[in-house]
Amino acid sequence: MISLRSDCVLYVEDDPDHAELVLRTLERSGKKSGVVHVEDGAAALEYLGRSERSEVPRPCLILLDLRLPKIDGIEVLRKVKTSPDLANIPVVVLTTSASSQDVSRAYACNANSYLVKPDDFASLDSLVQELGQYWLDLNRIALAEQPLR
Amino acid sequence: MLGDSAERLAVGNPAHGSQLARAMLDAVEDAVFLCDPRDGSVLDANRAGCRLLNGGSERPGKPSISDWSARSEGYNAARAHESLLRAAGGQVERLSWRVQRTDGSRFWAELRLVSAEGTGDVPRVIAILRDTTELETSEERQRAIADATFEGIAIVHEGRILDANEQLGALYGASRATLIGHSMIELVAPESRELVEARIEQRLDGAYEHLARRLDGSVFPVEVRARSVLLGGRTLRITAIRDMTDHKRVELERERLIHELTGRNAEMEQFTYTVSHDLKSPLVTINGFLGALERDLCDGDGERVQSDLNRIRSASAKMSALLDNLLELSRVGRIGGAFQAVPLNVVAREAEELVAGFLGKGKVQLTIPHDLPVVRGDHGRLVQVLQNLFENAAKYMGSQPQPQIELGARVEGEDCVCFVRDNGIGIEPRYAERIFGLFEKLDPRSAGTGLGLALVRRIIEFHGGRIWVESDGRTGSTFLFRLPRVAGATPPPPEGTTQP
Repeated sequence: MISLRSDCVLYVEDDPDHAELVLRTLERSGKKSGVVHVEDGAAALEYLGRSERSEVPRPCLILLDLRLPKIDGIEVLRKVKTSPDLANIPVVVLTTSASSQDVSRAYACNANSYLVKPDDFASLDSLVQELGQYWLDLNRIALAEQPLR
Repeated sequence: MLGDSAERLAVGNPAHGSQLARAMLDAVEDAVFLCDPRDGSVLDANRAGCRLLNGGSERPGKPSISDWSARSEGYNAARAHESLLRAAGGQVERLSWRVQRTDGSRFWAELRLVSAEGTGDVPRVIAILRDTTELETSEERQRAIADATFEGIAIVHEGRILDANEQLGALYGASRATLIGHSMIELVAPESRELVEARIEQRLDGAYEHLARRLDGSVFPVEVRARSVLLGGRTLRITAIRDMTDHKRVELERERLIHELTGRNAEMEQFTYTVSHDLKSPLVTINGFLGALERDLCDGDGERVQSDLNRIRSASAKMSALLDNLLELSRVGRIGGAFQAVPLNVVAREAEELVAGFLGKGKVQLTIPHDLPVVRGDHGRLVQVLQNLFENAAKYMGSQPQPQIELGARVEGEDCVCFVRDNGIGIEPRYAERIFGLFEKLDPRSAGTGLGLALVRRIIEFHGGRIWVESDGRTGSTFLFRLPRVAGATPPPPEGTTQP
């Protein structure tokens, strides 16, 4: 069984400004160190491939934008959720699109959550804080599961 | 006139019929004669018969069948005699007869000959003559109706055409007369024969379509409705055939239009979706960094304050550029010049001027040949195409020490295929289609809105052309587009030379 325990979050975001906003918020809550930021879908899949070969830390959470250069976010999601090795990594979609078509496509591909980027700073801040908490909880669950293995 | 006077013909005496029977006979509209089969002479006639023989007034001495037979058509004295003898022998004879009245007028009649039994030892034959003029007229009327229809109509017996209307001839490229007797299945294209034979065998009546073959061998689509009917003891197949060539063409056109509209609709949906998403993106940045700015001002972090302001400024500039480009994109096909003969080298020089500053900054060398063809299109839009392609090529030169862009064109039939080739970073083949999409940028940090190539594609498609990219993803890329060419036109000479 693959360990869920990890300090790593894979953050896939092509907009450098949006990435800066999210990273700054994570930094403020002291969680930035484990974040690996990539800018397109191809780079995300490449990182995940390397993590499968244990060359880089395996992420315990993937924060995924949908409209991405090279390989679309939905395609990345589909690849992750259909890979036996990666499917149990929670994927949170974080996008500007509130289109119902995107929401249903993402959930149809087994996204764990779908979040629309808020266009005000306070909401974005609290959303990222909540994500940070989610991340901590994931680690706690993984730690609790460890003695069983 | 038949009657009870001495004027009556020989056999007409009361011993052979009562007054009442005579009256009944006279009331019949058909002409009835009593004949001697040996010489065909008429021995007695009813009122209608007399009218026929002598116009109702005069009575012939001893008329025979020959007297009222129109000799011109179909009359054959020997045949008439044989029929009379057969009738006298007890056989009922039924034949079509062309009759001539005493005034010379003629008509078709149905003649029935039956033996008159009980008229003594001498054989006698009763001839009943019915005027079928009306029937003939009705047949002519039916033929006229058949000839007035849009469909070709064939009456088929045992696979051969018994009768047809004029349209059938027109349909199969032959005269009506040629088609009569022709095999019906030979008028079906070989690929449809199995279907048609099965329908005939199963006597199916509904309409269906198949491919027909004209006598010259050409094939065309038809719709057929056929019925099997039992007429005069024979099973006839009556077939109405309609040429579907025009219908098929219209149907194809309709399908093409539906396909095009569906495509346009999907494109429009994608456009709205993309626009709403991509226009929202700079807003998230602006509002996000306004919040960050507040916090950084409180923290007194001057460096971050400056960075926040820069990001807000560039996001707002990006939004403005997006709106401008979207407007430009929506104008293609609506606003622009009329289509005309456009010399590509003139267009290329204009585009070169527009991007000169940008090319100069990157020390990019642009080669434009003089012998470019003349295409048909909107001059201004074609300048936009080359301007965008030159800029795009210059933007993705990577670390190329000798950046070069080359424009060229080759003639392919009615079209001209133009290319813009560079020696930059290239495009991986798997992204070759995506790069022409709205807001698609392979490198998120590159300048621009991701609308340049979408605009180029829209302009080329508006010209009825197509654009694509060829690249191995390593050694540069070649953007190619196809445009309709103006055949025979010569491009203007390059600047600096004089017109001969």
